[in-house]
Amino acid sequence: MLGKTASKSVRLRRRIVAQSMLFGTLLSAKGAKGALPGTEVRALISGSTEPVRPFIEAFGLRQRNFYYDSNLRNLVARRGSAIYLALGPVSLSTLLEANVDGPIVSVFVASQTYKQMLSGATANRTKQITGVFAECSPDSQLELAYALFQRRISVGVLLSSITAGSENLIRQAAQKHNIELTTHVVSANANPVRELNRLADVTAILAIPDAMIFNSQTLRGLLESTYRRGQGIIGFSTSMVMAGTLATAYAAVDDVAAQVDEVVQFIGRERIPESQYPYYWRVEVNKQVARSLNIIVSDGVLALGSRPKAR
Amino acid sequence: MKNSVAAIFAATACVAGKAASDDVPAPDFEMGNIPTVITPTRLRQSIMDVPASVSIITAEDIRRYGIRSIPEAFRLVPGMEVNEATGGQYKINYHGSNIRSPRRMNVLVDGISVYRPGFSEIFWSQLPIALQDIERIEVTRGPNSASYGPNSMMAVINIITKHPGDLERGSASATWGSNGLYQLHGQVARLFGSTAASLAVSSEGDHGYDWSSQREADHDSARTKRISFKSDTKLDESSSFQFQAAYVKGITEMPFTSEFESFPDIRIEDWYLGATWTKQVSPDHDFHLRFTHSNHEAKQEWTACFPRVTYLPELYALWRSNPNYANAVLAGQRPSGGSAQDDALALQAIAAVRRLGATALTPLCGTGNANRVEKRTDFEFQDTYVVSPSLRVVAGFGIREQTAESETYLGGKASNRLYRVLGNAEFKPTPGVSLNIGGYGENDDVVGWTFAPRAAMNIQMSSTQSLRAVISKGLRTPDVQEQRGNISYTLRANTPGPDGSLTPRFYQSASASGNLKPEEALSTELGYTYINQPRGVLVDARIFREKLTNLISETVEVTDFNLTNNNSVLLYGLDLQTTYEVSPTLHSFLNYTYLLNKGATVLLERSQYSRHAGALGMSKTFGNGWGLSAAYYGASGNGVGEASYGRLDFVASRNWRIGNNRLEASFVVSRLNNKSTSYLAREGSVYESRFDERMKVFGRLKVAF
Repeated sequence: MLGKTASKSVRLRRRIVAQSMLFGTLLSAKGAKGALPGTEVRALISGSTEPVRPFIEAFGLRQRNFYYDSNLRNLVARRGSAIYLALGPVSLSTLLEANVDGPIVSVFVASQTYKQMLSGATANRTKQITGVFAECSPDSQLELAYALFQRRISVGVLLSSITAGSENLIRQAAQKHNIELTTHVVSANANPVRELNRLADVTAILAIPDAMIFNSQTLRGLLESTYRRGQGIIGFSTSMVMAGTLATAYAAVDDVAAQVDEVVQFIGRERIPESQYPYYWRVEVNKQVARSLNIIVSDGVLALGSRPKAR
Repeated sequence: MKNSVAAIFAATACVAGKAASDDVPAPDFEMGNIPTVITPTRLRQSIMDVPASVSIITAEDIRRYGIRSIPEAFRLVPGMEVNEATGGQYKINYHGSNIRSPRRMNVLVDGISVYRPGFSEIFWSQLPIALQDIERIEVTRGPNSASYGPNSMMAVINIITKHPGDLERGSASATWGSNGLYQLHGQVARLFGSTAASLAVSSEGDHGYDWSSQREADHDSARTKRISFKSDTKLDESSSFQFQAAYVKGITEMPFTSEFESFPDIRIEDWYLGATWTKQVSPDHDFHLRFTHSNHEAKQEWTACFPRVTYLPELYALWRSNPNYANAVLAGQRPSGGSAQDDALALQAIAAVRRLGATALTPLCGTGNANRVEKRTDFEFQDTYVVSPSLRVVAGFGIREQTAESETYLGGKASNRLYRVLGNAEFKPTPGVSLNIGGYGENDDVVGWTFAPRAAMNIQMSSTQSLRAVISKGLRTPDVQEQRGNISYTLRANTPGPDGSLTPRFYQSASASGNLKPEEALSTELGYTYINQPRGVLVDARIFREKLTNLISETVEVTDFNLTNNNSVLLYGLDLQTTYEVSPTLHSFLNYTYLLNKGATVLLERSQYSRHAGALGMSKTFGNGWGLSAAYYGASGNGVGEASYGRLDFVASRNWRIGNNRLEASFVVSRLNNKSTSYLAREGSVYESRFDERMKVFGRLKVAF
C-alpha cells in the first residue's frame, strides 16, 4: 500500500503540519482542545485519499495529534494509545474485523448501516465504538420540512425491515415539529416506486438512507414518480438534492470535523459517548424544484441548522 | 464539487467498490455519483411564471370529491361550461358560446388528440381512458394555439394518465348507482427489466336521463368498453421509449329521430397508437420524437321509411339546383321564379312523380346511415433547450395527415395534410420578471398558412405575489366536413327504389362552399397569483377579454348547409380559483367565474352562457381511514334555451389495509337543484332532458394489491 498512496499521504501530512503551524496560535489558544496528551487519533481510509481529503484537512486543523493511512498495519504499528476514526463503511468494517485496541469513531456511515454492522459485534466491543452518522437526524429533516412549507403538512416515509425500527424516532420528531406523519413499511420483494401509492395524499416525502428503498435502481423512479405527483422529497444528502429532491439538512465537512473532534475530546476526557446524528448542520434547497412545486423558500429556511464555533 | 459530506459519500462510493457491496449490508455510498433526474428541461413552470391560467385536477381530487366521469370533473375548472344534453352527450366549451357545436377546445390524452379531425367531435363517454386511469388533468384556460396549434382556440385539456411505474401491481373497482350507472375497472402493472408496463380494462354505462323532449322517450343510455396498454422503457441513462395503445368500443343511444326513422344510435370503435422516444442530450437539453395514429369509426345506422317519391333521382337533381323547387314539387305545386334550368328540372321531376302514380306515397324502407371513419397520423419533433438560467426555448415541427370517409357526409373520402412549426421562449431578463413569447404556424391543404402568436409577461411583485399579462391568438381551422362536406343520404333499400336501384338517394343533399377561413379568438388577460404558504392558501385570479371572430356558427344540416365566417361574439369577465389547505387533513377550494357574453351575432353564440358559475368544496380525512367531503357545483344558465345547473354532493369514504392489500369504499349522495336540462338545438328549437328524481346515490368499492 506504500508507494504512490503513501507518498501522497506524506505530502498531505506535511501540508497539514504546515497548516497547523500556520494556525498554531489559534490551536494553542483553544488550549487542550486540540491535543489529547498521549493519545493519537488515527484515521483509516479506504482506497484513495482524494474523497476524504477535505475532511482530513479540516480535522487536521483541529487535531494536531492526527495520523491517517489507508493501510491498517501502518496504523496499528504506531506506538501509544489511539482513538481510531473509520472513514466510511469499508473502513469501519475493516477496523471491526481487525479488533484494534482502542475506541473507534465511525464517520460517514449512515445510521442504519452502522447499526447493522455493529449488530454482529460483541457487547464489550460495541462499548468501544461510537460514531457520527452520515445523515442528519429525522428531527433536523422534519424541522426543515416544516420551515419549507411554513405550516403543518403531511409527510410520508417509506420504511423497510432495515429502517422500520426508526419509526418511533421519526414519529417523535414529527410530533415535535407539528407534522402529520404517514409511514408505510415496504416488504422485501415490493417495488418501492409502486409503494409510493400508499403515500399518494401526503404533501412531502421524507427520505432516509435505506438501501432497500433508495438505491441506484430505484432512485430515478422515486424522484420521477414523486415529481409527477407534485410531492417534494426531503433528504438525505446534497447529491440527492442535485439529482432532484426538494431539500435536505446536511452536515458539511467542517461540521463533521468539528463534531468528530468534540467526540474525540469527550472520549479523552470522560467516556465513549453514544453514537449520534450530526448536530451541526445546514440546509441545501433545490430552488428550481421548489419553484416548480410552487414553494416559496424563505431566507429563514436557508439559515436553519447550527454551525460549529469558529476554530 | 460541493464541500459537503454528501460529496464525499458519492466519491467514496467509487472507491469503496466491491468491498462495500460485499461486506456492508446497506452501504451508504452505493448510489455512487447520482445523475440529475429532475433536469432543468423537465422542470414544470411555477404558477408564478406560467404564461396562462392553468387548472389542475388530480387523481386525489377525483377520489376525494367522488367525481364519476371525466366530463363531470371539468365542473372543477372555473369558466368551463358543462352541459349533459342527453345521456352521455356532453356539450363542453370553455366560456361557453355555441352549445350546438362545442369544438373550440383541444383535448389530449397523453399527448394524443382525441378531437376527431373530420367532424370536430369528441365522444366524451367513449374516451380511450377511464376515470380511474387518470393521474391529473391540466386545463390551460384561454387560447393556447401558440403551443398546441389550431383547435386550441379557447382552451386545452391535457389528460395525463398514470405512469405504469407508479401503479399498484393490480387493482379492481366497481361503481354502481342511480340511473343504472355502472363502472367496472381492472388494471395490472408489471416491471419487465427496464420496462414498466400496465394494462387496464374497463366497462361502464348508464341509462341517461329518464325523459327526453324530442320523442318523449327514455332512449339515451351509453355503454363503453375499453382496453389500454402503456409502457415506458429506459433504453439507457439518457433515453427512454414510451408506447401506448388503446381500443374503445361503445354505443351512445340517440333520442333524436323523426316519425319516418328509428333511433340513429351511434356505435363507435376507436383505436389509438402512440410511440415517443425521448433523449436527454444533457441536463439542459432534451428532445422527443413522437408518432401517433388514431382510427375513429362511428357507425350510425337507422331504419328509414320515407315515401318512394322522395327517392326520385329527378327530385334529387332538382334539389341540387333549387331546394325550394323540389319541396314545391313534393307538395304538389308547380314552382316558379327560378332559373330556366330549375324550370326544366322541375318538369322532369313532375313527370317522374306522375309516373310513380299511386305508389309515390307508399313507404320505401331500408337502412340509412351516417357512418364515418376518421384517421389521424401525426409525427412530431420537439426540442427543449435551457440556454441559460434565464432563457429556456422549446421548438419543434410536425406533420399530420388526417382523413375522413363518409358516404353520407362527404360523398366518399377527403383528406388533409398539415405541416406545423412551433417555438416558445421563456426569458427572465431580471429576477422576478418572466417573458414568454411564442407562436405556432401551420400549413393546411385547405386553409393555407395560419399563425397563432402569444406574448406574456409575469412580474413577481414579491415572493408571494405575481402579476401576469397575456395576449394571445387562438385558431380553429374548419374541419373536413365544414370545408369539403357533400351531404346526401343513400338508402340500403329492402326493395328497389323508383329508379330500380337498391341504393336510391334521398332527394335532399348539400355541399360545402369550401372557402371558409379559420375561426379566431384574440384574448387578453391580466392575472394575479397569490401564495400564502403559512396558511396554505393559493389564489389565481384573472380578468379576461376574448374577442371571437370569423365564427362558423351555423349548424351543418342537409336542409341548411350554408356555413360562413360571418359571426362573432365578445366574452369578458373574471375567473377565480382558490385552494385553502386548512390542515393536512382539511382541504377546501372555491372556483368562480363571472362571464359576460356580448354582441353575439347569432343566438347560437349565446346558447351556452352562465353569467355566474363555480364550485365550492371541502374535504376532511380522519386518522381511522374515514373521509368526508362536500361540494357544490353551480351554473346560472343564462344562455338561450339553457337551463341552470346546481348539484350538491356528499361523499363518505373509508380505507382499510388488509395485509399488503388496500380496500376503499365510498358512498355518494347527490342532489340536483334542477331535474331537467335544456339547450338550443337550432334557432327556435330547445331540447330538454329530465331525471325523475333529484336525489342520486352511488357506491364504489376498490381493492388494490
